[in-house]
Amino acid sequence: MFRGYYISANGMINQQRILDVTSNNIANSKTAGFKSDRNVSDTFERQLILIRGRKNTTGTIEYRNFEKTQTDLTQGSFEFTERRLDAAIRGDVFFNIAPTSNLYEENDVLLTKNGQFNIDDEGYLALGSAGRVLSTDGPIQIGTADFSISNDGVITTSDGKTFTLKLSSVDGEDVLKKGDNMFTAENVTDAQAGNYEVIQGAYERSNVDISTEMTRAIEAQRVFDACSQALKQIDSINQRAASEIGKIG
Amino acid sequence: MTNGFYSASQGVLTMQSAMDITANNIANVSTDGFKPLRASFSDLIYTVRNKNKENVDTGHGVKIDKTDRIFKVSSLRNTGNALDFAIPSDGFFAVQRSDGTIAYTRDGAFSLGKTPDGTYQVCDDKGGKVLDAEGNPLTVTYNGDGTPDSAAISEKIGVYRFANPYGITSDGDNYYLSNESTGEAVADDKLDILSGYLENSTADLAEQMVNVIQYQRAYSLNIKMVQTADEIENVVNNLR
Repeated sequence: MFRGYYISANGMINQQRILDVTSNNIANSKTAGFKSDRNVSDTFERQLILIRGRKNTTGTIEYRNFEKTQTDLTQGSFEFTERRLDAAIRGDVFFNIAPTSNLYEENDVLLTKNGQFNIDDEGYLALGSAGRVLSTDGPIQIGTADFSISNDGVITTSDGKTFTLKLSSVDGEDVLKKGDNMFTAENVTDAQAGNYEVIQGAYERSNVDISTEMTRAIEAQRVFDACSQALKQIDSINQRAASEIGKIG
Repeated sequence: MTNGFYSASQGVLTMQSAMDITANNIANVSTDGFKPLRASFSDLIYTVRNKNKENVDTGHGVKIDKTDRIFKVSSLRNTGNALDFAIPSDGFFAVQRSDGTIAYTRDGAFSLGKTPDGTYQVCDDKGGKVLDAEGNPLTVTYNGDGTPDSAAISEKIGVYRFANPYGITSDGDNYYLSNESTGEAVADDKLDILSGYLENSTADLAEQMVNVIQYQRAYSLNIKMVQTADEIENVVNNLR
């Protein structure tokens, strides 16, 4: 069979995946603290070498040239709400959340950029259904909405309690998304003072750029169409080979 | 079907719900003491596409995780009516409703009601009795000629505050209820109360219209993605 057949089919699959990711980005264009994803593709040759290097190929080659989903951690713009429970961080620094979901272990920590906090039924500073906000000494039982957050992340309540927000930065660009605006990463370190600024009464918008996403969607669709045309043409060549060259009698 | 199709349709539904929330805010731009709600979105789970490579993950759309109340003191307007009251801070009036339950409100358009035994009561426009700082219905004092002394009323109205006013539950009719998140209402006599003023709605029409435009654009973009995913399926169906 023609190789081109499978290459075009693979092209179609890849474009479909780009659409999946783009679609999710667009759906989250209004999600606070959301970071857009993009597909990083890899050349077929490199994949070939990788496969050959790993094991002896038996002639079948995966035509997958889709390497990974990369999350773009660029800062989103801020929306100022004057809501005292909203907080945003300027800089590549994340809030720490202790998840309430039973999918996680007791001491698991998630990272987020979404600062639309609320106070839960037990008086803890929380982030909706996702979990509780962490200070350097654990969950913050704040009890009152009457507090201020300084630029370096120290919460001072009107009744004199202070908490220092636990803030982390991520080495490198590789974060893994966990849903509910949460991330995990392998190399998490405490944020260095001076690298960030916590702003109360504002939250970070999604960093999805709608025009980029739409452009990418249109591009993916057209490339998909082109691949399907190529596939059809190869198919018609195959058809000829089968019905005309191979004609008996 | 592709994932993209479902992510986008989830986006369409969510933007529609966000529009519902905004529509309610807009409907209440002239409701005294109204505090608008804001939709807080979050993304859904991510699934790994390729077991060998952990990083190839795909998202599945968006949901409204919660609604946050924007508890902000709004502008006050002068009405000249001595029985209109406004609180220029985050306090609440307490009202005992006809069923005996206590609700809290920022709408201070009160009036005097005459009870069957000839005394007067300060009540709101739904007939609830306004409470004083001790939690009892306000007692009205009278002038020499037997008419109620309205000037003394503003001294007696109780102003209550919550540890977390952002957590209040709406109960319709401008009433709010306390819950576990807000904590117990505590009378605070240090909070000012202004007579002759009412608090305008905190929902700002311009701000809400900006939301409408944004949600509508997001809605149509999501629809576009549904269409695109559908066209892709169509191409697949026409391969042969």
